[in-house]
Amino acid sequence: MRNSEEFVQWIRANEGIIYKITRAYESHPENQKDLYQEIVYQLWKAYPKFRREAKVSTWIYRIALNTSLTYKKQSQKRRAKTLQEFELPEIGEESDPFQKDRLQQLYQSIQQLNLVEKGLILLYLEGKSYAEMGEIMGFTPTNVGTRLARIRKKLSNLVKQK
Amino acid sequence: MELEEMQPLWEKMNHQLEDREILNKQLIMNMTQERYSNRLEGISRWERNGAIICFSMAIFILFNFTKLDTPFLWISGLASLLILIGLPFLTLFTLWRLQNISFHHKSYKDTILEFKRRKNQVLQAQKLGLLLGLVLLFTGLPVAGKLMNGKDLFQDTSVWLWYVPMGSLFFFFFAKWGYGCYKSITTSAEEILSEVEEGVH
Repeated sequence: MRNSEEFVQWIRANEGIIYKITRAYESHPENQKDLYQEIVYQLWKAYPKFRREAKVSTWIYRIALNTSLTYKKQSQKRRAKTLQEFELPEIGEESDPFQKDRLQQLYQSIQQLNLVEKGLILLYLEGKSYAEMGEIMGFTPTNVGTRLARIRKKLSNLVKQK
Repeated sequence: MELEEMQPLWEKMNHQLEDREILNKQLIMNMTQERYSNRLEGISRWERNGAIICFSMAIFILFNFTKLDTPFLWISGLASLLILIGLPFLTLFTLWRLQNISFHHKSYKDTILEFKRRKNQVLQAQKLGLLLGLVLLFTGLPVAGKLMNGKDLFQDTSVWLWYVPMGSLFFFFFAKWGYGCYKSITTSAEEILSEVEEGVH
């Protein structure tokens, strides 16, 4: 049984998570909006089966990351079209003129990582513990640590190459 | 950008996002409903039209099946019928499975592995499709000859003289193109797996 009120409340309380994930996985604004809508749809589909054993935010991360992963791997022609008109905000425009550029650089760096690394870095930046990251990603906490060390090195190398 | 530089920037963005509203209640509900009714869009025009053509041809053979009056024609008709119905069904089914992975209780890693497994099934179906396409090339001709012109091409064999080399040539280029597509998709599926396996050992 779906409780629409509760679902809407959860989405609105966690919009930031969906926003950050769509921006990390897709660089084109239209694709970002389409992915955003796909994540909301997948969450709606999964909502009746959510057993509330995990935190709502962890559940949203899991669904959103898995959706982004399969979305990214589907060819363009197989994707459903964006139907709803809405705008994703640009963060950092008014308050800090340099912040927009810095955020752009940040997302560009993330987009250079592979799909597994992307998922890990997002969870790391969100301040998730290795155990929580391991649970969402399907790796052991030790393996998460190893992979993060590689990502750190990879990002440093990317900076040096520029 | 280095990882250490990312963290404070990310936190700052988090604070700014807290004050933003992206979707209102109505928009959220509309999104879920409209997206649901739009799911069939995932099948491309080529696949949909191909399936319609195959099924139409199968219906045509089925309604005229009694006209196939020799054992060879009957076998060719039956084989063509099975391929024309089975092949699009198999292709659409494997594609549907690829697009409908239930990942709600799966980890990211398991979703990647499931995606790869289903992608391989699509590729296997495509490989089988190539093989069955070759069979159809030869079973379809006598059936078409009989149903459209009333000729039994097992008796009048002159058509085969040009049809076999032409058909084989066409199939050679078609198979070459198909194999190229197959190879590029397989490489991409292998790349996904290597991403998962990196750092495990």
